[in-house]
Amino acid sequence: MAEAATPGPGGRPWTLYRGYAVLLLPPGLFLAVFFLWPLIRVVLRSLLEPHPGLANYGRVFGEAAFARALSNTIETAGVVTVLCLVIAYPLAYAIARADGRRLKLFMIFVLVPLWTSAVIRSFGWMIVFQRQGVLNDLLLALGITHSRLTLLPGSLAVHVGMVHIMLPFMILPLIAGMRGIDLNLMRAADVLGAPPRRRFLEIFLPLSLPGVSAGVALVFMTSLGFFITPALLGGARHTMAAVLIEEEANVQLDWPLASALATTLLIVTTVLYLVYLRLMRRSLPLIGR
Amino acid sequence: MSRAASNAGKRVTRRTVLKSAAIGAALGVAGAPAILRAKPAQMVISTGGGQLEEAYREAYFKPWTEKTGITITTGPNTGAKLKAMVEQKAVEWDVSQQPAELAATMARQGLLEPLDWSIIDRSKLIKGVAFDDFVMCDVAAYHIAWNTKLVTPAEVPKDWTAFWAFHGRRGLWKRPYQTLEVALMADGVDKDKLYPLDIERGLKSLGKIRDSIYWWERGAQVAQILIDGEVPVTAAWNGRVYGPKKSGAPVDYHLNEALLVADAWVVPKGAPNKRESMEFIALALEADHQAAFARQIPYGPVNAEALKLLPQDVLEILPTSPDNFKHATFLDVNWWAANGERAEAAFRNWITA
Repeated sequence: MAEAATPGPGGRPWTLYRGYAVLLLPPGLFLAVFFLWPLIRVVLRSLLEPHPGLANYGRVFGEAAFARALSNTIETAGVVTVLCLVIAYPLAYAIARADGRRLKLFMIFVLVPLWTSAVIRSFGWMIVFQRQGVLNDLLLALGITHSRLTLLPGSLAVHVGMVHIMLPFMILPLIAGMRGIDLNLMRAADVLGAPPRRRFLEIFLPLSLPGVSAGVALVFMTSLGFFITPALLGGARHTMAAVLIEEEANVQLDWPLASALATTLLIVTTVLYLVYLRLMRRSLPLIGR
Repeated sequence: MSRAASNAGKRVTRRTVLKSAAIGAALGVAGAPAILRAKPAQMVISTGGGQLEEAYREAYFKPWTEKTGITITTGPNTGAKLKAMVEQKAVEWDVSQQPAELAATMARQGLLEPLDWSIIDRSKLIKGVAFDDFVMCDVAAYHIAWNTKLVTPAEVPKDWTAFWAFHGRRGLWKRPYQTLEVALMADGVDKDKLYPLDIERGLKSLGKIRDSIYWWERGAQVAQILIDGEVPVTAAWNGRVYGPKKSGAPVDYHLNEALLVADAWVVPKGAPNKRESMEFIALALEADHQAAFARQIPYGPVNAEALKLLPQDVLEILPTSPDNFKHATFLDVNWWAANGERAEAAFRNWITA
């Protein structure tokens, strides 16, 4: 974005670039008014009410529950992101190489789950995971277990429920990234004698990483704000930061404290994201250019 | 869009006012102010939606529109939205239904109009439902419920102490409200001497059954885990288990040591049609409308006269009917409004540890 606004390399006329920058104005204004300004107000409220100072943050950091909820949230989002990546990568690889009717069919399979709300899908997973549920029936019938397992509430249910919801958000950027890879490079490597494994590891994988980067960021950030799925499938230990923020904002009506909690979550998220970008950039000079 | 609507509204009002003023002047009517005040064409009432709103519509909204010609539009009653509207001085709601303990919190934060008790008749209301800034409108119960396939009649916990002694997983709401109260009753505190709540003792009592608690968060969730037998016994709300029981699901419940929790009517500070808001609440608390409400949904009326209009089979399921009322106890909304923050903090530190 910044590049578009500054004069381009090679002394090309800058007016063209300024023309592009104008296109950024409507969304920029929209975000400034409806996102940035409210966000600034949230931060200000956490610092100014009921009295100017850091008292609200004192409460956030003084209470073990908030720190625990925050670490639960990050851990859960992290596990979900890794699982999504592991499942989505081969799938996206297959879809990216398909075309025509098969590509459309695959895309429909990826997109259809998005049409059902997260609440309904979470209730669906309750029916799968409960003691008298489908999964227990199956395990017993196959002789894998001999008594019914208590899976609800539990981490397995939370992770499966969340991965199910987040998977399309990993698959789509991966496909976009993979379809942009010039397969002639693979052919060239083949001609030059590189075995399949090496072609994948040294050409395809590095070139697919921008897609991975986008998918990981998208899934991780969204998972941090998850609310209903951990509430329905998780137990006491799955108290997420969003649940506590909602409680303070909507039930206690303590907006200064809710603002401080939200700001803390935002700062932690931003720091994690910056660290992640840095690591990606260091290991892969291709990204970020 | 809302700005356009309010502008249009203003214009109409101004014109109407001018017209009435002209007529008033022409006729030389002494009581001009009464004529000047234009009646709104519609009112906005926010509710929790679902079956509850359907019952409100039949019992209160329709009679109100018939009587006054004012139509009612509804919307979701998000507590944070009420606070935001009052802070921004842009209140869209004339009346809102809120959980009573949240209404009490709103009252403490000065977000509500004081109710006009010269318009609303409090003489027929049962004890403990009328407050300065809000009035309870229907009463539900947080009570013991069980799955009839998994629990024999002899095993049914008759009170919270027995519920605590029950062998097996037990469902409780993952909030300190209501759950701390039943934990204290389980520990032997008399139902009429619960307040001020001993938070530490309540948590200690919960600690005794910690590993066998199934924490649920939503009303629909508790109905599901009970019907499917995920838990044999649970604390639940009567509105959530009555329907499944009636339609043949293997669930049952009793109201012994039930904790009574209520919905309340509130008028947000700066509501556009205050007088009509008060008149609506007055109508909604009248005996015949309250009785009509209770016939549709098993929440108890707060008007004592309404109970007299109901047949025995309906009374049996209502938390506020005399037989049930004496075995139950009201949640103290003012205690929660004053101490909710503290109890909430203690509870979340305990539960996430």
